[in-house]
Order: sequence, then C-alpha cells, then structure tokens
Amino acid sequence: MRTDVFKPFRFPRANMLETITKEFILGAYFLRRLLGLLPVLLGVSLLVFAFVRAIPGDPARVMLGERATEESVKRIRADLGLDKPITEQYVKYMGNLLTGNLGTSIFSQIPIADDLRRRFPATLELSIAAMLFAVMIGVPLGVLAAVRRNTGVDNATMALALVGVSMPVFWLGMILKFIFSIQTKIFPPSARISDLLTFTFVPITNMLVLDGILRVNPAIVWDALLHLVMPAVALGTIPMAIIARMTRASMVEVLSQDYVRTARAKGLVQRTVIWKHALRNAMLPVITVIGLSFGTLLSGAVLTETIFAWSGIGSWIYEGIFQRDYPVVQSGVLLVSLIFVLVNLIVDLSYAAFDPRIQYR
Amino acid sequence: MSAVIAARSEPKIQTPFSIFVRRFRKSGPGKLGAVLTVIFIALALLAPVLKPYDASMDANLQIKLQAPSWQHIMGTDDLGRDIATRVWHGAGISLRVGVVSVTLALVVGSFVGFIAGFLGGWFDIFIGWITDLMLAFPGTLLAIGIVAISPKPSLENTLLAISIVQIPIYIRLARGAVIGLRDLEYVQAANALGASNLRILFRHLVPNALTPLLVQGTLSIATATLETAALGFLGLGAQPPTPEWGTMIADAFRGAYWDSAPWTTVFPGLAILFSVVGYNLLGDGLRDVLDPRAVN
Repeated sequence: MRTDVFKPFRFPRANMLETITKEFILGAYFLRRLLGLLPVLLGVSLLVFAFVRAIPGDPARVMLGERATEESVKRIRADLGLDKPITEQYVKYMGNLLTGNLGTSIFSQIPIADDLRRRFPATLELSIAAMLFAVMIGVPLGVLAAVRRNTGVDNATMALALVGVSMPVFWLGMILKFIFSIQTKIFPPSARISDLLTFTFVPITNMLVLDGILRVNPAIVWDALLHLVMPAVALGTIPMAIIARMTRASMVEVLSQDYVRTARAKGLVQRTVIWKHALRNAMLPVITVIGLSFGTLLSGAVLTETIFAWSGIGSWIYEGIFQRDYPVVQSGVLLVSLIFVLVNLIVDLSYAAFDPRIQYR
Repeated sequence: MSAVIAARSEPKIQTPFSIFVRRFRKSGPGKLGAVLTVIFIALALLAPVLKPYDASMDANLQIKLQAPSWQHIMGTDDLGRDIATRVWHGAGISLRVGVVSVTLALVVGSFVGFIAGFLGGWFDIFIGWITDLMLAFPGTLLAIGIVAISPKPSLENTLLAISIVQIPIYIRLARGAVIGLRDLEYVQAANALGASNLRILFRHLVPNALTPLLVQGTLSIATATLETAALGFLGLGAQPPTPEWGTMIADAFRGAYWDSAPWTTVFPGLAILFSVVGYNLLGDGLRDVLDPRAVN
C-alpha cells in the first residue's frame, strides 16, 4: 500500500506516446534500411547476370555436346533467348524474376523453382545445424576462457579457437569422414539419408530431421541426424572458433566493469554474475559475429556439400558453373546473396532488441 | 661536452620501430606466429634450390601410393611423386599467392578508400555502393564467380580473384581511417599552413591510417591462403601437376585414393593449417602491439 503513495504521479498516456514515438522511429528506420537494400540488390542482380554471361562457353553447345550441328545449336540458342541483345535478355530476366518465374535448368530441364524447393531446405538444415554447433560450443568456450583469463584453460581454449579459424573446411571434412566413417563407421560417409529410407519416405519441408519429427518417424529423425553430424561440425568449426574468440574478448571487457563488481559485492553467486549479468551485455558483438558468420557458412557450404554429397544450394551452384547452366547459377547466387544481405540487416536491426541504448534516427 | 652527452643518450632514443620491436617481443602469440611465418618463408625460398625430388615431374609408378617411410617421409602419391617435396614446393606457391594478392588488394583498396574518404561527395557514395555490392556476396562465392569467368582456371586467375574479393575490405578500412582523422586539429593546421590536398592526404593522413591496414593485411594472407586452397580443391584454381596444396588434396579426393592412402591428404592439409595458424598468430600479435585499444 505504502509504495503506491510514494509512487510519483505519471500521466498514463505520456508513457504510451513515448512508446509509440519510439516504435515509429524504429519503424521508419527499418523501412529506410529495407529501401536502402534496393540499389544493392539491383546491382547484385546486374552483376550476377553479367557474370554468368561472361562464363566462357556456350550453354547450347554444352547441352548438345561437341558433335552437334551448327544449326541445332543455333535453334537451341534461339529457344533459350540467347540470340537476343544482352539488354533485352536482362530486361526479360528481371521481369521473370519479379513475377517469380525462375525458368528451368538448361542442363536437367527441371524447373528452377522445383530444384530450389528440394535443395534450399537441405542447405538451410545444414546451416542451422552448423550454427547450433558453433554457438553451443563457441559461446561457452569463450566464456570459460574469459573467466579463467590468462590461465592454462584460457590458453588451451584460444589455441583450439585459433586452429579452428585456420582450418581448411574441405580438409576437416575429409579428416572427419576418414576417422568417423571409414575407420570407425560411426557416421554415414555421405548423402542426407540412407538410400533404403528414401523410397518409403515422403518429405514435407525437405528439412529431413524436421520432416521425420512432423511425420512422427523416429527412424528417419535418427538416420537424418546421423547424416547431419559430420557436415555440420565441418561447416560449423570456423564460425565456432570466431564466436569463441569474440565471446572471450567481449566478456573480458564486460567482466572488468563496475556493475559486475557490484553484482559480486552483493554476494551473488559467480554463476549468476557470469551467465546472467555479464554474458547478456557481452552478447552484442557476438551476435554481430554470428550474423556475419552466415556468409562463411554459405561459402563453406559449397565445399562441405561437395565432400559429403549433400544435395544443397552450394553443390548446385558449383555444378551449375561447370555445366554453363545460366539459370541455375543466377538463381543460386542471387538467393545466397539475398539471404546474406538480409541476415546482415537482421543483425543490425536486432541491436535494438539487445541494446536499448541505441537510438535510431 | 654536449656532443658527448648526445652520443651517450643516442641509444636511448625511442624510434617508433624500437618501441614496436620491444612491444612485439612481449607478445607471445606474435613471436610464435613470426617464427612459423619465417619457417614457411624459408621453406618457400629454399624449395627451388634444395630439391631431393622434382615436385611435379618425378613420377615413378613403381612406388605409387607408398606409406611414409625414411625415403619419402610423407609417402608418395598416385604417380609415385614424393609428397614431402610437393608440400615443400607448395609453400612457395601459397606464399606467393597470399602475399601478392593481399598486397594488390591493400594497395588498390586503400588508395580508393583514402580518396573516397578524403573527397567525400558523389565519388564516396559511388564507391560505397560498389563496396556494398561486393560485400553482398560471401567471399568464396565471389572468388568462385570471378574464377569461373576467366578463360581457364589457373593460379594467376586465383590470385586475381582472391585479390579482388579483398579489395572492399580495404576500401572500408582506409575510408573509415581517413574520415576519423580528417577533422583533427593537426590536419586543420596543415590546411591552414597552405598544404595542398595531396600533401595533406599522403603526408599527414595516410601514414596515420596505415596501422589497421597492415594488421588486416597479415590476417588477409591467412584468408587468402585458405581461399587459394579452396579454389584449388574445387578444381577452379591451380591445375595439376602444380604442387598447390588444395589441388593436391583434390587429386586425392577425386582420384578416390585419399581414404586408402590418407597421407596424400593429411600432409598438404597440415601445411595449409600450420601456415594459416602462423599468419593468424602474427596478425593477432601485430594488432596487440599496434593497437593500444585492443583488449587482451
């Protein structure tokens, strides 16, 4: 009761107004950032279009083989619209893109959209698993190193992180494969699921672990998980190491601040001080790094997917380049850079959620 | 008398370089990195002089895929070539690509960045758009793209691609550094004394903005080494029989003998790992020494 008496009077609507204003500013900032993406994305599409056309070799020729007659090559080129002027091709391509028509693969004649539906979830699943591994190992390692600063534990952890950042992804993948599937046969060497299961299982989202759960099929979940472990570890190692280093640096700084000392002086347990008080404030730079690591993941996916025969976006783009499959490479690279740009934006915007001090104007 | 004092006190004068050396010697990781890097440079330089076997030509099918022994301490590959020799020669290739691509990127990127930061205006906006554009692609993917449009995969094209991919990083760094310095008093003073823009830029701004660029440069050599190997592994970089580390691993992987003869993969990979660890340590050490704000 007494607390009510001493509470300073506050006009209720003033508070609301403040919230609304803040949200309005934030909303305007979001909108401006989104609009700011447009010139970049336009440039990206132009660049990708130009790049793909600059890849030496004629897709019509690649499609028909070396011995095709000049005439049939010409006909296919006309079918594909490759005989039109380059500007016309770009306008048509952008028009198709904006209306959601991604075209068909020159090589396999499968609509790009179908391929994407099958392959994108595969890469997404792999990236999420890799990121989970990276965060779940990297953050605790970094915290441990910061808390035990300048001890053997710190040195060992940071040495591990250093080796992690310096690791060639494809080599790590091969070493893992050698130890855990060729020598000890703990994990299956490649593919996303055992051949035997593919015949009976109809996926929903094409993220196989999730599909197994949705279809309540433990055998699938287990099998898909086993296939997922090694690629995810290989792909997640570099981000894990980067996250560990960043967490350590950030934690060291936060742990030296006055409020941490106050928390300790209050008699709080070490655990609470570290995981609740310090880590929360140390996470901001870590989140940036997590977001930026997505780029590393998407690049690394090309290598990891090649090693583990993981039929995702990475291996799709890679094969597309070799087969001069313009639509495949275009869509794949566009998608990857779109995700990359959006993730970076989300990272920027998520600062607002984690750090209320940041003002957006 | 005064001459004597001057002569005596001379060794105590602290040049920036002596401060740097003193601080660097205290940095454990920096020293270790420097040692590793020096070892790799020495290996690279000695490779053409001392060669027990020829790296790409000494094929001998009678001794193919032999496990490590005293004659061939890292074993032999599918053509019977000595892997130790190939790894050794690979050091030179990797080092050359790393250093040249990073130097190229550093020079071009910093130059553009300095100019953009100094001039501002439409040029700055345009360069900003270009860097945003290039950074919208994940690095390796952009490198793959650039290599893909070159007429045929080669080490030179790898070098160029890796260099181009790194340019935007330097543009941003250099631009940021110049913008941070541009309005400081000493620059205003130089301006008031009638120094030309060019003189202000290159005499007053650039030297003070170089530190972060050099640190980034060392760290970039690590990235460049990894990317050279990655492109080589994808078959988009150096081509056989060049003893490039990534290409060697690719040979073993595509030739499907990497699992029965793991030494063909393990040693080139370790070489990549150790050299990159060396560059990273060196870069970290340099950053600790040169950037007093860095927390340790």
